[in-house]
Amino acid sequence: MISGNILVNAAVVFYTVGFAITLFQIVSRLDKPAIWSRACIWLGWSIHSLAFIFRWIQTYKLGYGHVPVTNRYESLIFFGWCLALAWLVVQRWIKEAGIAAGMQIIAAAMTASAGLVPNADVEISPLMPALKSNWLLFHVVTCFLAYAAFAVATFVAMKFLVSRKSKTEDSSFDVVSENLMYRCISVGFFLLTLGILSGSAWAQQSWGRYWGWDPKEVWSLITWIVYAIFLHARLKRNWGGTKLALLAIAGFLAVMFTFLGVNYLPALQGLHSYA
Amino acid sequence: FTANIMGKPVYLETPNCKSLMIQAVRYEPDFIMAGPERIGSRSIQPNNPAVLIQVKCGEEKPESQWLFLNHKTVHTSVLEAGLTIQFDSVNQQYDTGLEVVRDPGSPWVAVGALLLVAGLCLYMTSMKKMGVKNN
Repeated sequence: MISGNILVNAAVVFYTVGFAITLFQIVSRLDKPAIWSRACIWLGWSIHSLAFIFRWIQTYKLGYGHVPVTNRYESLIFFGWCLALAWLVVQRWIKEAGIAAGMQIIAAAMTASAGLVPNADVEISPLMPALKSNWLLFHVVTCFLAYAAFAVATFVAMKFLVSRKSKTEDSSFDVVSENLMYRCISVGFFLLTLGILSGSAWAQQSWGRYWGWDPKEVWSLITWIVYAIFLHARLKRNWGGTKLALLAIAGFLAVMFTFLGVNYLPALQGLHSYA
Repeated sequence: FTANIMGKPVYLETPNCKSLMIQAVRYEPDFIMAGPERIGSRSIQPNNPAVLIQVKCGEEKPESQWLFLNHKTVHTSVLEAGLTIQFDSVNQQYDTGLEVVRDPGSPWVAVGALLLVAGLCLYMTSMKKMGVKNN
């Protein structure tokens, strides 16, 4: 377990170094640092993957054998991994250093915050009976990849708003970033739908109902509706520019509340309290 | 002497207190403490049985203390001169709770879910046709 933690910390260090290099790239207006920043993220992500596999093997060694995504500590680490993965995928098309910086720092911050969680369940414990299901992997992976895709869209939206304000960029960036936002959110929406569907199928299996208005369930529905509005506004009302970017950011705020906020409000303690 | 508590309060007369109430308010078969307010059981196996004892003399403020079967000398509650409480044995009984659900509409839920996914797949594959501005 200790060596697993060292790997996670190393991944955080690489993400942070990548972020620092990207900042230097922005300030210096050079192109070369981008390669080094990319190398850092690749390296960090590889180490992060190793840490994940390592912990997975550990659960088998302890005789429990479950994917290590079953408590707050593990899910934050997994979310960081998904964010880094999303960035590695989209960087083929997105070259903006500002967006790179955003994705790198959020991946580092999410992964690192696993250690800051009060009462972090660092120790591997057996899975509670309600969580033992084959749906676990599918539900968690689809949801977190959706969140990661939404994170990319949000940083594109932020970059869009900033560059629009300073008016330093040409208008072609607007069209490109609108499309990027739209595509990321389409992919995220698809995954989030799968996540909610698998979640309710799983809830039916273990709790006897598809939908129980648990705080996490309600907030995932709110998130889903916000992004549904985004897609409809884009396609049917032909929204674009600032309005659409703000909608993308609003959607991500809902995501963050679904993922983190719900668990910290004492009044909203629900069945998802473990992640 | 031994008192069988079983969830009901036991009243004793001691030199310092006329009516001393002792009650077991909570039992955890496999005690774990993950934080100040996070006490629970790792499992239902009696691997580390712990009992939360509440003691009250008359109308005074009640005192409570966790006692452990496996560590009898730890946390032994010294309430007043000469009186200590020890957790000596436990007879754990198991109950089974069964919940039965009948869902005549579950095939329709499945159809709905499939339609939703099919619709999204159609949407993802036809994004360009729907007039999305291309880069």
